[in-house]
Amino acid sequence: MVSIFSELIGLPSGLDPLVILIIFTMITPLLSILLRRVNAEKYLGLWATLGFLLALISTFANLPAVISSGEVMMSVAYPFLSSTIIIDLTGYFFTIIFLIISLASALHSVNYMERDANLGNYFLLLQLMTLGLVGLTFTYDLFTFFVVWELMAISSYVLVAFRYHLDEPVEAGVKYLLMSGLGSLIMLYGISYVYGFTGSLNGVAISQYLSTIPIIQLTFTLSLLLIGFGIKAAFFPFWTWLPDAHPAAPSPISAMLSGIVIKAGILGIIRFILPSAGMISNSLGITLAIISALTMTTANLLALLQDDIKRLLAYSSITNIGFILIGLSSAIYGERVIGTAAAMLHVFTHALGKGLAFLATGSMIYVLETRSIREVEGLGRKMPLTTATLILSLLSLAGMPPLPGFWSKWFLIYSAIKANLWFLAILGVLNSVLAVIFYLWLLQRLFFGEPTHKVLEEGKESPVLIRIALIILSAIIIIIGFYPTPIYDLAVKASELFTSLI
Amino acid sequence: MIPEILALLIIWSPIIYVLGKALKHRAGYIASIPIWIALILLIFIHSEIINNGFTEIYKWVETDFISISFSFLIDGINYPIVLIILFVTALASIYSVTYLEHEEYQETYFAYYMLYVAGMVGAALSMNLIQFFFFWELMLVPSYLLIAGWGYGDRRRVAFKYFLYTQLGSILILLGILYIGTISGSFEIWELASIGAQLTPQIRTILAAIFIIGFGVKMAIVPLHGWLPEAHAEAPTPISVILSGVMIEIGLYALIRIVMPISMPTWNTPEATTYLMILGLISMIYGGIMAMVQDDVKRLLAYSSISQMGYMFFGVAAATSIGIEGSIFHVFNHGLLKGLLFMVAGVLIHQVGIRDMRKLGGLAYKMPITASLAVIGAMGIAGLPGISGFVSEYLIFLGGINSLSPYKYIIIMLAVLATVISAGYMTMFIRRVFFGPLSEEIKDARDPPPTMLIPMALLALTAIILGIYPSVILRYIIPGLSWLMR
Repeated sequence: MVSIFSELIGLPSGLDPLVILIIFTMITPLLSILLRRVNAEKYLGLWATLGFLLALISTFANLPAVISSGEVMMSVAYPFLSSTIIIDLTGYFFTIIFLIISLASALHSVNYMERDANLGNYFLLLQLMTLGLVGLTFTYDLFTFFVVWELMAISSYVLVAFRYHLDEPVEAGVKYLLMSGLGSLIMLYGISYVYGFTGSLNGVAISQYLSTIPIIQLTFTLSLLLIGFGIKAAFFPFWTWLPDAHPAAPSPISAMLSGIVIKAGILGIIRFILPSAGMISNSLGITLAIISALTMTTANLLALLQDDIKRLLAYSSITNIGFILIGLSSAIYGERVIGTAAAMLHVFTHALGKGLAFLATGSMIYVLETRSIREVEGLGRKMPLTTATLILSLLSLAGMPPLPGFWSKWFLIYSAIKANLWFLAILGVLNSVLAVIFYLWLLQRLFFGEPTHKVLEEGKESPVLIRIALIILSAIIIIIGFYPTPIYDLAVKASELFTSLI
Repeated sequence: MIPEILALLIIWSPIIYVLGKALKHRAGYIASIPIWIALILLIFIHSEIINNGFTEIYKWVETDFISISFSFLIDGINYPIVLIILFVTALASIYSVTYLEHEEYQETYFAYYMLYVAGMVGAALSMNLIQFFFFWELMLVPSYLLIAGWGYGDRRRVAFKYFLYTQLGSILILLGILYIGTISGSFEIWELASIGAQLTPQIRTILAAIFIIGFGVKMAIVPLHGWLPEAHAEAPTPISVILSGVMIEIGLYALIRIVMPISMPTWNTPEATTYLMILGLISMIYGGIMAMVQDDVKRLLAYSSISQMGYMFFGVAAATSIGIEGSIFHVFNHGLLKGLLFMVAGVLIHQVGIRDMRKLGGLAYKMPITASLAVIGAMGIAGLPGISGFVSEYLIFLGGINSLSPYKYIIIMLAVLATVISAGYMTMFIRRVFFGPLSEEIKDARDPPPTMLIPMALLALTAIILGIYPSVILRYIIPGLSWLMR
């Protein structure tokens, strides 16, 4: 059914997810006018969920074709620029996780946001952000990438500051806007250098040309791009905006920001920096390894000090970006396929874990209206489902079997050992133990602590849609934990295909 | 068959959670059902194990660059271990029924319990290193939750300490496993011996040291034992039974299954056996002396576990087939006897409410059945002939005499001395708890209900039968060792 749309306008069916998202997003403003009349704007969340669900279904429907045909590229040419669209497994891999988290967040938002006004705008922005993210996975030239990137980034600024009558979100939103805007500018600067050196912005072309230009120019250009992606992905030392912005946003948006938006930077690195490194591969690999080590260690130590549960989770996101960088640095340092696959796998498992963690936290905040860990001790007595899912996600993030985090973490360490980056492997395991410490500390207080007055008086399970969102993600986590084969298969195949493309 | 058993155990966890809300503590009977089924199924295949071992291989993760099989082997080495895991956990879950009757959240307890059992069974049967590590970590989380949720004293701190110690050990194990994977491209335990043969002696030594430290944390080899006395003493007693009786022994099994094949040429040298046997000796003597000075019943038993782990490590360290045979048999016996003794301690907590031996005494007249069972357990640990512990300790010392170490006679003499210490603290335990004057506050104590007595009696009975006919178990172990020693 869905491929009819794409074929009508002459696009390959591989683009279905994107086309569906565009159609659903375009209808949202009209629907919101109608629904505002009957004061039921929150049900736009169901509309958004439906869109994400259809897009997800069409992604899976097209998956076999994409696997068998490798990658399909299309160019839309203008006199000076050409926009390249790519349909490949790497993109699909990211699309799947982007859509899963968006779906759960939209569903969660229906109940979570019901006390707010302007929900028409909220859901439109949410859909635009997902559209931007999914759009990124289909682009393979820096110009289109930048345009779609900005679509996603601008929606996310507004969403962080969505509760504009409060101080904290506005402050965090402005900080986010300034830092991330600076990042975009640096990226644009880098893109202009790329165009200057190679005369093209197409991914395949730049990866071929860039590796032939002198080392100084190459280093400079790639550094600019890396900083641009790195600010979005919150590398050391560019992560200062993240611990403010992610907690200040509404919880479903935090889930998306921490779960998938920061991963857009990782996608950028995989798509444009890994293939172009050429002669500076080794030095870039070491640089990334050092960034990775600093990112995870500093963020981990800071996480130990937090009382605000969302801030703790935000720091944990930075730590996990550090973990993903283990994979990327081993990829660039020699183990291209395994390193990239490990990084992608961790993108997937971290998005699931962190998405669930923020949504469960959201369920807690919806009921208790506090983010202080001290005030929610003993939560397990009153909100068993919320606490259990939160614990599940934390254990997955800590890399405990039988949960997905285990499968990606050992793979990351394996790739580092394989690439002979021993110090990174050892730091990685040490950091994962450090991470276990604070997850465990949180778990103990939530599960085994004496319930506080607030918990005893106000604690009750949250509304049904929030619970459904939590259950969906938990089920996916448990299934992947016991049967990780399909995800491994996809990640390894995707990284193999993309590596052979260059 | 084994994946089905594991699946049954894991699926039983949510089932018991749902049923347990209505059944309360009686859910323990239901919880033991799949464990009994697994035990019976494994007993049915006993003839295959003597011949070739029972093998099952499935695919788990299968890609071009990485493949992890889901494979199992039951042979003489792990057959006794998996039998004792299932036997003790089945009995401990029945024992929990009465023990937990006044606790809260019994359904959650039994749900974790099932996962814990699944983790142990999986770890003991896995033949792929990643799969092994998966189950190895799976047994950690539920046991942590069980201690933190239902333990005694400062249980949250104790559980936290347990988790951290074990996790730090796991890091070393993971690094070792991944290093093996990177040099050979394979995670199969079957290939470890041939991988080990290709390594240089230095790398083999480093790898063996990493693994011995990693598994040593779980085995609580001195000086890596810091977590054990507290965790085993403060855990809820049925969990202490499992922790001391079967879980720490899985570390020893891993040593035999994973570390020995890869490092055999380095291990089986005069120097290495001497050092490792001395390490075992230190644990034996240290655990024994510490046990002598305890006042708390469960702490005494916990230190006794450190001492007994020293025996088992000693047998393995000697690197002779007879010593390893003795160690594996001792795993079985220690599961029976230490399980029995911890259950006795649980009876004291449940019936008398006191675990401090200074306040106990004279209970033999009030609870005669418990007292006689405790005597059987204590004498078994002390190595009295006629109870199974004697046979395995004898085999361990025989293994030590056959080893290559030049100082073996001195070491064996000291080890026999350690047995005297065991006999010392065990007789002290019996005397202080069951004999002497009966104080006023405990004069109403009496024997526990049959749900607690029957599991204890079954353990004691098995220990006596095996003391008379040790070949019931030993005949499986010997053919299994040929795999290791070839």
